[in-house]
Amino acid sequence: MSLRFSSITFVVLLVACKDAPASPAPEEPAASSKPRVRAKNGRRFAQQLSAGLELSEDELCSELGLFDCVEEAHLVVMGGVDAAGLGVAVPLPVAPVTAPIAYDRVALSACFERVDRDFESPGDAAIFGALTESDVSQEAREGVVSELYLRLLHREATDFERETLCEFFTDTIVPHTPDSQEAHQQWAGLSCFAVATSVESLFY
Amino acid sequence: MACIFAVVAVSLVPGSAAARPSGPAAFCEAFPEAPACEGGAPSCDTCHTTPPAVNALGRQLEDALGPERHTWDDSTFSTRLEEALREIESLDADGDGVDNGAEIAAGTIPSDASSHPIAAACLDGEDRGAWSYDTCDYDPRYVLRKMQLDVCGTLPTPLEFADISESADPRADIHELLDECLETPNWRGKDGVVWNMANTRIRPDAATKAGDNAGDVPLGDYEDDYNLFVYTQIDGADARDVLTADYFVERDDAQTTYAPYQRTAYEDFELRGGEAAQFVARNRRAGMLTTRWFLVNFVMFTAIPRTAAAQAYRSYLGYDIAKMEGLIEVPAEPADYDAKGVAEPACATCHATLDPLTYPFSRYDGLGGGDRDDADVIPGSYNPYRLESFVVADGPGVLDIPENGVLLGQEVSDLREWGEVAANSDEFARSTVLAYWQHFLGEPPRPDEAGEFETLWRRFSRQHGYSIDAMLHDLVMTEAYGVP
Repeated sequence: MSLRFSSITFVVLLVACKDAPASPAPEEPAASSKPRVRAKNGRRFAQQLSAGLELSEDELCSELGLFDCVEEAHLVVMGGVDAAGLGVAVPLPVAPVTAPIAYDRVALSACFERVDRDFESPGDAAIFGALTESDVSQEAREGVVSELYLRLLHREATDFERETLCEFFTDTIVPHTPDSQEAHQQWAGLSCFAVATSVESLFY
Repeated sequence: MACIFAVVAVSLVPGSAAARPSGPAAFCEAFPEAPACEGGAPSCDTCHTTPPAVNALGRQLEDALGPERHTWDDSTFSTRLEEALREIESLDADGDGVDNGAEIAAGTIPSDASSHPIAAACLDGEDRGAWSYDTCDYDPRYVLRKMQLDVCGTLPTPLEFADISESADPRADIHELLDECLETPNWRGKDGVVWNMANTRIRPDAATKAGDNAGDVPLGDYEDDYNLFVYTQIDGADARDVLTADYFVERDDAQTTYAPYQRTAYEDFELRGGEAAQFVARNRRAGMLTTRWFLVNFVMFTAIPRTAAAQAYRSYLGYDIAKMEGLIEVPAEPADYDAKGVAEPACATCHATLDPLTYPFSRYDGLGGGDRDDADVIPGSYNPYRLESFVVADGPGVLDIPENGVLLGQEVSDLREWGEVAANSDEFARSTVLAYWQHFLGEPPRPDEAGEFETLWRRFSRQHGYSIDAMLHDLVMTEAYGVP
């Protein structure tokens, strides 16, 4: 997992320097007169990941292999309550500074759990089976992106979003990870992570 | 609302001139048509962060008032404040391009740049079909996504999203989906949304829980309280039962169903044992106010259980006496029957309300107290003679404590009537609906939502028979909830 974290840091820095893809960003609506955006609490986030990645909720993430990330280790940080045990009767009014870390950890763990399972058993793969082939096409990667958006955000990916994540593979992953299968594993997990931790995924 | 009652407190308690709770009244004198003044007074955060610290609008007011403001009496301050508010109408405190006066008139927040009146694009006839959500009007797609997350705990499928986009009557689809979601374990089950709404009312403690998963010192089973609470909030039940029920409720987790039952104290003791049994007789029950857990934890060992009354006042009527809310002075009170010194001027401000509020609770035992052996006390039970055992500790005055009290300015003969008066009050309706509003919208009503919120809770009590389900069908149709 530590290799993946250092990969993420590297990738985020590189992506930040990247040029925009060919397709334009989608049209923006008028600014809301009363914006009211709320974060999904840990339980809702876990339900979303569980359904989308076809993992049970207790398979998403655990700290030290002992403590469920959402229901135990990061319960309060992710907006949960434990009135009888911890005396936390209502969710924290303001997200603590460690909340993004907790959401990132859950998403990263869940995404790479799905990647590992699909690459270990390609015949039973849920999402990333097409990436386990010896020669993976651009269409296959676009199909994976579409699948991620449908599963995690319950909508079709836009052309802009498909292009962005596919160019992430060719321009960023490949130059630094020459082995094709490893590159696709990294790309699959990080693409899943990017979609799962997008603003649209975390807030509503 | 807190500021209104703070006015009362400041007038009774000598001392600090650092706060100026006359501000909300002066605001409504200057802007009588403002939505924030509809149905009440604006909250303190119109001008303040944490009083007396000010926000951007407050800073502009301070500049307009000048440094001499600290030397003025309250009357002069109110007059000058009204003038200063009109002076800063043309300024733009939050720099969002809309002046303060326009924001106040529109009911948006003049100190928050992200809050502003409706965008020009909404008035220009622009084609909004390409937008992901229609930010100018009620959008059923937006409501579908939010409501399914808020109630079912899941996202709508792409098919459901497409269906509602093409539906001939999307609002009817929303109502149908809401009914389905209200049946889910996420909403009504153990540790679900409704269950957790009861946390601050019940204040559970695993260490003292009896029954299943008992703690080290079992004093009562708070799951009885949670079951009763949830039962009164689902399936179109009358939510007033939360304060008037003479029954208890059992839960079936497999079906997520709740069913009321009647057992005498003896029958319950035989079935569940002395650590969990409910001992208040049926003719003395008042819903959540007389459960074993409530009495054990909030009456405990006291003759006049002020904590119990304050907890009930706060939990079910929305008045926190510790914040000087809901103070309605009763003549000749506090009588200080237990010689605790509550008649002193600094104390009487609150105790003139709190003590008469508490008297009906004084005939219910918590854990014991007085000069009795606690082993001789039936915990969480009605005992009209209990005060006799407090004479040694609290003085002979305790024998004069009446069972009747005063709630919201109305005489009540006992705790059952306390529950009836409370449950039928506007305060109960408002407080109950506010809890759901905060779940669905994440915050109290904004100034421009005051009218919509008031309509919601009045319909809850006057048209929906206190049915939470019916009120929620209204709530998901509000502009506050449905306009992105």
